[in-house]
Amino acid sequence: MSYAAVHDDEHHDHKPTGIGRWLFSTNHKDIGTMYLVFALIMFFIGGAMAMVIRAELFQPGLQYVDPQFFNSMTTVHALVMIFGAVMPAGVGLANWMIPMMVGAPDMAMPRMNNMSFWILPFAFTLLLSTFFMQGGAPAGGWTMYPPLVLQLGDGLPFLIFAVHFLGLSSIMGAINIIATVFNMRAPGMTFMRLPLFVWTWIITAFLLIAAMPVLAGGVTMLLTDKFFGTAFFDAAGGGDPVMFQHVFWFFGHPEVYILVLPSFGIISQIIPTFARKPLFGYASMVYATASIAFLSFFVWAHHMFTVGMPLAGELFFMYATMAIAVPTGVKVFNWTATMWKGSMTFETPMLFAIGVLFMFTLGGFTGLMMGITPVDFQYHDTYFIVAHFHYVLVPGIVFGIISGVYYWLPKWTGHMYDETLGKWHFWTSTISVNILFFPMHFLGLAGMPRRIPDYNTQFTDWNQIISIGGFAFGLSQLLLVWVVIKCVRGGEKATDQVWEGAHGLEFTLSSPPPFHSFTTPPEVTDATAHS
Amino acid sequence: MSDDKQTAAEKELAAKNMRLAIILGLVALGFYIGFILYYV
Repeated sequence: MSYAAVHDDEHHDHKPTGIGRWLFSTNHKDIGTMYLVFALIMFFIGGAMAMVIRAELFQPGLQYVDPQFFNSMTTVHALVMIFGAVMPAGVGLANWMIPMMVGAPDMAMPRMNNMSFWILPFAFTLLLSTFFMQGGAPAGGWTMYPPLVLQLGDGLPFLIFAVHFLGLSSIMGAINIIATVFNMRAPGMTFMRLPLFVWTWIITAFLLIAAMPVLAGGVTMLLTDKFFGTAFFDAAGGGDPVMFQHVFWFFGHPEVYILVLPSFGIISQIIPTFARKPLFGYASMVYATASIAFLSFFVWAHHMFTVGMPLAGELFFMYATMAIAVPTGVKVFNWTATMWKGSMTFETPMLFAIGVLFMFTLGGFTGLMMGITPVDFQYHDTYFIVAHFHYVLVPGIVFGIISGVYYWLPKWTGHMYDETLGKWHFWTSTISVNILFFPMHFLGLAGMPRRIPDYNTQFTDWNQIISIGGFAFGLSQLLLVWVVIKCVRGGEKATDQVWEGAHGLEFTLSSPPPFHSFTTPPEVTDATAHS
Repeated sequence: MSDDKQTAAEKELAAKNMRLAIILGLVALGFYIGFILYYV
């Protein structure tokens, strides 16, 4: 039975209209939509910067941009993609789905939810405005290492305040998610009945609350070093520039899991649906996710083996890094076991989810390779690391987000998307993403350093192939925009359940769901819960 | 829904949410300030 039939009364389904609906929205679905649209816009802005990088690297020598601008492209591309595209997309999906999945009418604090979103465009205006300032945009890498970052001109305080605001937005979003899940669950929705997507988001939210203040503290100290005469990271004043690297990566490694855990949650919803089997090892998935999050605070120095540290430190961080592979392996095993002997079909969300499973694992393995200290000395700061983290971030995380969009788009819009176009999107993306990132392993092993606008002529062939893959991947993402617009405008009517094998409270609501999801909490039983 | 139309149960839930938000916010603020003070 559709709960919408019970709860869709006219008073509660009243929608505000005009620009005010979006500016002052306190509705989790509208705010979720704004997050997703914002993330898509930033994905294309960050993608355009990647195109500049790949155009410049198509041939050795300097072609189109000067080295300073090239460095700004690599730096701002990373900041935009991480903080502007991937994180907001994850929060957008959380906003849309978590209240519906736990049986709540909305997020716990809808006004704070509005604020969390509207901080983002303001923060990115600060960041992107640095392109028009004396000294240009940040060019010292997204890691903002001093003393290099302190050489930035007028843009430095804008960069630092943008990071503060992004952190504030993330923490407010995290608090809202925790409060929603802890306090707003429907009767019968125990923690061990929560959908895996909700579990991964609770754990991500706690990671955000623990990690973002560390980044904010670090960049505050950069600010005081530059403008208020402190010397936290200035060796001449008794400080230590390497300390910033420790601070940054104490935030930075949990940040990797902040980005990836929601993607794990999404494919944990999709694979059981299209395998038509319950998720294999639900409890072990929850514990593995929590273990990954816990261990992520003890591996940060594997990013900085080459700066030098005591042997005991190198061994500790090497083994801790190996240890993270264990719960990650549990998850990969469980996804695979879920598919084993399932009645599988391969609609677009499932294709992208399987893409995540294969290609995230590939990126994870190269991460393990670099976790081995002596090996890392060879790979550090080469294109091998660029290949590794792009495999994790693009086919590992962006594909996960895209799979979620395809999976829930019929629920959001009430229309089925164009399956043929979706499959075209998957195959063009998968082929091009591998042409784009796989040869980077070869370049890295051959010694091509990262973050350079020029290179030795021996690297030309692979760079040309990579650039062609990059342009093809960028173009293929236009298919996603086409599919989404086409689906929003119309199409075959989606049923409430949308997918034959789908379970969970969100699929008991109408497609599209009413403006307020569950004004009366549903009763959750084992039959309606995911587990 | 305006605040004066809230039922007692809704007000209690709002207070519970606010308490949790304040606690988590203070934890985050504590990490931020504590972290800087640790290095001062």
